[in-house]
Amino acid sequence: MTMTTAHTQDLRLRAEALFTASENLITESTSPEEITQLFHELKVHQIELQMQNEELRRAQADLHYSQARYFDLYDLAPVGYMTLSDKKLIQEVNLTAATMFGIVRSALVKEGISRILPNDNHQLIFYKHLKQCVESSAVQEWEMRLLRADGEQFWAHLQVAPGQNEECWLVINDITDRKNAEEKINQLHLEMEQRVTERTAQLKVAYQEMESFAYSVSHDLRAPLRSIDGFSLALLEDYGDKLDDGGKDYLRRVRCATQKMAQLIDDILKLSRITRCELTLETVNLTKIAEIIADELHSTEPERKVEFVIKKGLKVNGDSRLLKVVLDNLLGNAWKYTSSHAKSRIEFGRSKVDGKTAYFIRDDGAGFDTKYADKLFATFQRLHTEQEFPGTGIGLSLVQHIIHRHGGTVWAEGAVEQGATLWFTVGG
Amino acid sequence: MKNKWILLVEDNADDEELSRRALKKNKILNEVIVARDGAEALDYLLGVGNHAGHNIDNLPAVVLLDLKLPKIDGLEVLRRLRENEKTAHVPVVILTSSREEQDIANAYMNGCNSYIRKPVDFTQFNEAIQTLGLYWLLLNEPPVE
Repeated sequence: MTMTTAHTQDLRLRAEALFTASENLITESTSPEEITQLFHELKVHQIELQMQNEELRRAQADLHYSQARYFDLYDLAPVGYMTLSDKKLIQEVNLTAATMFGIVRSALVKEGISRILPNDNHQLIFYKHLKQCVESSAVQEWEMRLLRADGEQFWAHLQVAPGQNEECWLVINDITDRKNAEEKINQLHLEMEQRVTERTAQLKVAYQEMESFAYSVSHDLRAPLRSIDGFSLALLEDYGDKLDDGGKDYLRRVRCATQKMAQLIDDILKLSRITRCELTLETVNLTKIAEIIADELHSTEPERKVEFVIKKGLKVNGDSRLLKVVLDNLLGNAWKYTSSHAKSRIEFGRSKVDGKTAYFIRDDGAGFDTKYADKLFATFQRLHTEQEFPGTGIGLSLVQHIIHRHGGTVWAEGAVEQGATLWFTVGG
Repeated sequence: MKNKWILLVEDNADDEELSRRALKKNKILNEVIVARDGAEALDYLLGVGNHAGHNIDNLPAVVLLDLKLPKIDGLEVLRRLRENEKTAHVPVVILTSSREEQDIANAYMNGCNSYIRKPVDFTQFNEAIQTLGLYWLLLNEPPVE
């Protein structure tokens, strides 16, 4: 305020000096009318000056305001700003940038840009982008590490835009957090890959073990069975006359049991082979496969009265060899479990279940008690005795394995003596 | 007929006995020489090692070769027989428990003449031996030496 008063007094003195030096407006010859006129003019001038003064004051307030705004916008911006001269000198820096580099602003001004670049290589990259910006007059963007005053480096996203008088404007974004997150993601990704590799290796070993186990089963378990069967037969043939009927019956039972065991071994191998083999996906015509199987079943027992109703045009994407095993088992089961009925009907069709396409094989045979439905698909589990219906209990287990490998599900509905319906979906 | 003999490469004594019995039952009375492992089979056929000096001019009418054998396995025996000029064409029938696709493929790739899976059912085993004996000892014309 005192400054302003002194300033005003100074102005007043200078004005009076000027007035004294100027030509006198009022002389003795000035008429009273003229004096009145002059006075009026002076008054008007004074008012005009006051108004101008007012305007100046307002302009000054505006200027203050915009300077404050400029300070807020430029200095406190969430990004660092720098103005670079054509000589690659830092001409102007905002506070954010100075904070980023951990240095007072004045220490950066007039410094070369290399001050914030970690090494020669970074300088080359920086100059390359700067050159491109100047030559193309287009904004360049890139990411690189920058050097803080304390020698630490941080990751920044840089944008350089052409400014006035061959200057360039540089916008700096600290992206340390993002880079850290990226690094963490990369790290996790690497760890994940590492884990996948390890698991794959473990799986491979498990696979090899399983294969050698399967091989051993197929080879070594069979040999003793062959001996049991072979020597039982030799006994029957060579010493039959020394055995009574009971003795011969026992030997026959021994031979039957060996056959059964051999069949079980074959089934286990079949199951393990299906879990091991690769899927070959293609369009599979289920209708055609089912029709061929139906014909085969008819030819095995031509005297039976079984009507097959197979829907036309059932096609899915899957492994044809494996899906044939599915239909072989499901249609074969339907054929087997209707054998106690004089006349029967086996249907293969398609329907929607919970919005999904599902296929079904329905028969009107012996059916099953739903109480035991969960046992149907378990390996070597059976709901009927060997005498009622022959089998080892591998069929539906195979079916389930294959359907699961196709990403589908399989389930059964039925009631005792009212037939069974086996449902399955393929994929999704 | 006198010179036509069979080399049975078999480590399982039961299987040997059953094979002999099946041959006898089918009136195939040719001499059967048994080698207990792959190494012995090779020594015998190539006249080396334990059988050094053994006359190898008279090759068997057929070699019945198991795949799973002690010391040297069947596939390796087959490979070495095929490598040797002397035994390159001797008929070799793989007689094994395995029906693994890989085994079958490997056996044929290494030049076996036939692949038979030993059935558990001895009646079927009998039939297999009969067919095999008749075919390789009577029907088949062996390579001219």
